[in-house]
Amino acid sequence: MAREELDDHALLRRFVAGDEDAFVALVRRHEDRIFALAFRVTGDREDALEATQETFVSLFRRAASFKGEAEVGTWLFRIGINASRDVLRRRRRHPPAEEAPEEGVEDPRFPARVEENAVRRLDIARALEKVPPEYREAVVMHDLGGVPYEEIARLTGVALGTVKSRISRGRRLLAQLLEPPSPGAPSKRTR
Amino acid sequence: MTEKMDHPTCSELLGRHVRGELDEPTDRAVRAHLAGCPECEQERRGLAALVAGAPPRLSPDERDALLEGVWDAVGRRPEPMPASPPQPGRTRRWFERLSPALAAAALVLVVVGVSSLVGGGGDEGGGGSAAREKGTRLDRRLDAGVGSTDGPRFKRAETAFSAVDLVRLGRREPAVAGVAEANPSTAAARETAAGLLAALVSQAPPEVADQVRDCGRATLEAATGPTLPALAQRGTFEDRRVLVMVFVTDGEPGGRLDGYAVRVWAEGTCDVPLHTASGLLPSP
Repeated sequence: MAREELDDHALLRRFVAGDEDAFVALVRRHEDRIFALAFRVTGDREDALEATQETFVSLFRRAASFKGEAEVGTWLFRIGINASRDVLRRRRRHPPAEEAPEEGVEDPRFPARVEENAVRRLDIARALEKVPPEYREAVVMHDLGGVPYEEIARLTGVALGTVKSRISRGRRLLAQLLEPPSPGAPSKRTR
Repeated sequence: MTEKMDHPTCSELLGRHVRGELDEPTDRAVRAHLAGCPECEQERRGLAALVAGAPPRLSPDERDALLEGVWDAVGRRPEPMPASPPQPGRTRRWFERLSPALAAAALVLVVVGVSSLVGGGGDEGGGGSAAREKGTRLDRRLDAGVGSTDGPRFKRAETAFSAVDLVRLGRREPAVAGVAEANPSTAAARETAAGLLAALVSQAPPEVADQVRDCGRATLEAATGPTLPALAQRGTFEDRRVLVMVFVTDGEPGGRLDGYAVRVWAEGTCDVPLHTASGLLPSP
């Protein structure tokens, strides 16, 4: 059977058995999804590339320890979330000493619209960082990764209702962090 | 679906709602609930902000760079996935992509290189060093790859080079070390240089292959001592798009092939290099 027709678990088994082309097939199959995740979390294309690369380096090194209790894609997604956060942490410790055009001076490299989008992406990345980790992981896995509630519950070892609650609260926290406070805005809710 | 909807149900449907995947009656029910529920509406806004816009996709160059970076980090050679795998469970080697004559010549070089390294502790076990927290990405890739037995190589990742990066490229790139280790003697350098250059040209993308060939030839013809092409890569240097080539040389005239020379040309030309660097390779 051609590698393209094998499912993720079969590809992973072949890779662990020594078939590096199976690893390449796994990378090709998941790279866009992991990159999209990393881009949303970091807000920066280059950081997202770095996080994506580190995700697949982890896949290479940890493939043999994968026990198969989750989908490979979900497992990769969790690795990708952590890799993206690691990149963000490093970036905060060692911020690039370049760019940053003077305030009020239009940078000719970036049309205003692109700049606005970039700012917005960064805002979302920063807001995500402020969401408690257990909420953030659930939101990112479900809303960006399409991981079902039940699988998140199994992976994280919490009740299904807790997963749903975390996702709901995480989304609302994101909105609160992204929007200017307004009088009468809801802040707490019990369900 | 009735018009009445509770919070948890609305929350579960929000993802499909913002992606426009709900059937009309269900979507109408969600919208009705949202209109009367500021909390769920706030949840919808948070979700919409998170998923706004089309998901970004990797460009072809970024795909190449990604896989190359992974192989570098784990201490292995980057390999494109073959359209028709030659044999199940077997990874193609770089010389298998060459013409038969070149492949034979290249294979000889690799065999010589590997035999000279038996017992040398190459890092083929996937145990490359983890990414360092400080330093450039180029640092990390080069750190992770030192010690492998690469042959000549066209690196598809594009890098924004600084002068320091170029020195590191000469001193620490596995392909450069591999070519030097495979050709310890200066005696046969002239005979092997053409084959190595052809191997580089064959790996280069079509749009840059001519420049690799022409700049490589010009450098070999101008060289006064033994010179072997080992690496080519595109990128930017001082805000200009460039082709970088690294050659193995005799760092000290008359001795072994233990030096490197870096040449940087503006894209599309083999005139006077924009930048050069040279020095001795680290001791094996």
